[in-house]
Amino acid sequence: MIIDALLLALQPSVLLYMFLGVAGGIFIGCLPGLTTTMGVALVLPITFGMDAAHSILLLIGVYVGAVYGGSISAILLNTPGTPASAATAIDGHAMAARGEAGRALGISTISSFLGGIISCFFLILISPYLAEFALQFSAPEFFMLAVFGLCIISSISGRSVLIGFLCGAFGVLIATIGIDDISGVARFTFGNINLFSGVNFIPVMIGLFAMSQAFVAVEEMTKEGRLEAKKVTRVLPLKEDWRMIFKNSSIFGTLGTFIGSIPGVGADIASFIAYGQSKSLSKESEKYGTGVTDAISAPESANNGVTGGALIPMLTLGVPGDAVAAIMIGALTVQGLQPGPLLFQNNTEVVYAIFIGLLVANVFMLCIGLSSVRLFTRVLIVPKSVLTPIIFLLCFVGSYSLANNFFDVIVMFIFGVFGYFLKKIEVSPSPIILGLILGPMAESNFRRALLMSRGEYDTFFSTGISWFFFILILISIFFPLLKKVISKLKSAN
Amino acid sequence: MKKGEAFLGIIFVSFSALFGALGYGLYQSGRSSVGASQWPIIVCTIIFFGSIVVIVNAFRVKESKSNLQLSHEEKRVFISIFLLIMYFISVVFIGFFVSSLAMLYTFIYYFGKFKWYVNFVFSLAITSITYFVFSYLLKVSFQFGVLF
Repeated sequence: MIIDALLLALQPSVLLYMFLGVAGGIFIGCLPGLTTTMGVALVLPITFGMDAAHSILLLIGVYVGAVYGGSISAILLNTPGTPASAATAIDGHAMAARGEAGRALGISTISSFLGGIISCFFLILISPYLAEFALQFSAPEFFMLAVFGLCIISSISGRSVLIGFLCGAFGVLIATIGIDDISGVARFTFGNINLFSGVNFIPVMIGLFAMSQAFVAVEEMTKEGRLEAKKVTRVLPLKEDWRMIFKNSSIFGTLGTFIGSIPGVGADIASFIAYGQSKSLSKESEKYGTGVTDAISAPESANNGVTGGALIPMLTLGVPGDAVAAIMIGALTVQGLQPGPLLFQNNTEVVYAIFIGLLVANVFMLCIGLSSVRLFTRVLIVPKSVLTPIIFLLCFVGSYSLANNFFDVIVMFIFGVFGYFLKKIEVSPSPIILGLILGPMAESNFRRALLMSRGEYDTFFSTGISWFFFILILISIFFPLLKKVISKLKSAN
Repeated sequence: MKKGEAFLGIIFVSFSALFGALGYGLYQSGRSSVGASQWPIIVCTIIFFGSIVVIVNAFRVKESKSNLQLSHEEKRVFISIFLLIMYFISVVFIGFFVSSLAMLYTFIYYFGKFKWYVNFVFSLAITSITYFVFSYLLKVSFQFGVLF
């Protein structure tokens, strides 16, 4: 089995795709305004014609590369390429300003690599056991799990808990469009044949994450001045940095993996938590912000730690850890694979190929990061006036190529405009996608559980696992509200 | 009043009311077997009442009087949306390659400050690469319009 997975993941063509994926990811990540999610969403259509291993490992390459790539522009320009690198910019740019850009990039590269490797080991160690445990789940437990996924994601991913919930519920509602799998009844199709098979979430994702971001780039076009990156000479940490890097990577890589495995908490939150924790643990916390090496190593190992962590719930439970994992669920679904515990039974070689691929992608990231950062600093001068129309074109081609159907382009465009509107009012579009993915899981298990119990609703509370998820649901709903009340009380005092 | 949130609430209320009514109709017609309409009705109910709370909250919040006029940047986004709609229509009637070339040229001209031939070379190169990769390598069929 391991040999099969090795043969699958280490094929020359897979390695080439992964290498290109990591390089492309770094390219996307280091360009301010292009997010990791957008990059993975844009690359997704290219994978439709590939097999499962090529497809998912290319996307993993892009994911790993983009999370790391954000630190390049954060350090050199003080403009984080991705939100996950915002914490790195604080001290990274301060170091670059005093002529230590190469050292800062070296620390960031090695820390990202170690954080990614640590998360990979956790993924390999935890996933099979979690998947085995999830095999005990039946319909009521899966329903509770889906509701928990929706609640936690909605409550975390926006400034308003209620609007987050509503966006998630809106995604669930959109997922009900089409022919009902159980009864065969056409729901909300309005006689449109394109809606009979439902609304595919890939065009929705391209619209919400790529097209809407391109509209934001159009809006910010005039704010873009001439970007002047700090010059880089040698990308390597100093001798005295290595001990600090290993210490931080082991602590914050683990922290990042743990945070990444919680559905809805992404690399951006992980990097800020790591920055804060590193500051509170440091003896020189007052120096943070002036170019402290720990303040680069901690967030970078944490945000790359998220990459493996986010894959844990995705592969074992079918619940995406973040928006990128949601896109990967899309990629696996297109290949006819259903993420969840059965994936470990039916497609073991693909699962292990993903594990190996994540390790290899991190090695590629390290090699490219240490050898070609100077090349990527040139990428920073690509004008948005050229880049944005390319994104428009890729959004069109990407959504169309899914099924050679123009209707998908219309869906992508509508959600692109809607996503732009959401961004204008500072609402995250992620819950909609997660609602679209988790909605069918929640509905089918809800109905299956009721059919099995002959309509008895107490079936949802019949096992300890169900109760466990129910308590988690309550915590995820009431914790943000409680936090608000406490902060209000504190400010009143 | 927070106009954006109120507008979002109105969108959600409209959707939930429409889908809820259709789901109820499905239930009454007897065409719905166990739960085919039950789940959407539950979701619609949650969205409907939640959105009403959002609308009420949005009206209760006092926001400093904002200018209703669109900013220059926002106008550019709306123009881009309009140009993209034109592009989609032209893809259907004219063809993918020609329309994409025109779309890229227009946008790069609109957003950038390049000489016309630089602009044209950029547009031609990007369209050709995209067409080659998707049409020949990934076998995506771009059978649109009278041209190609």
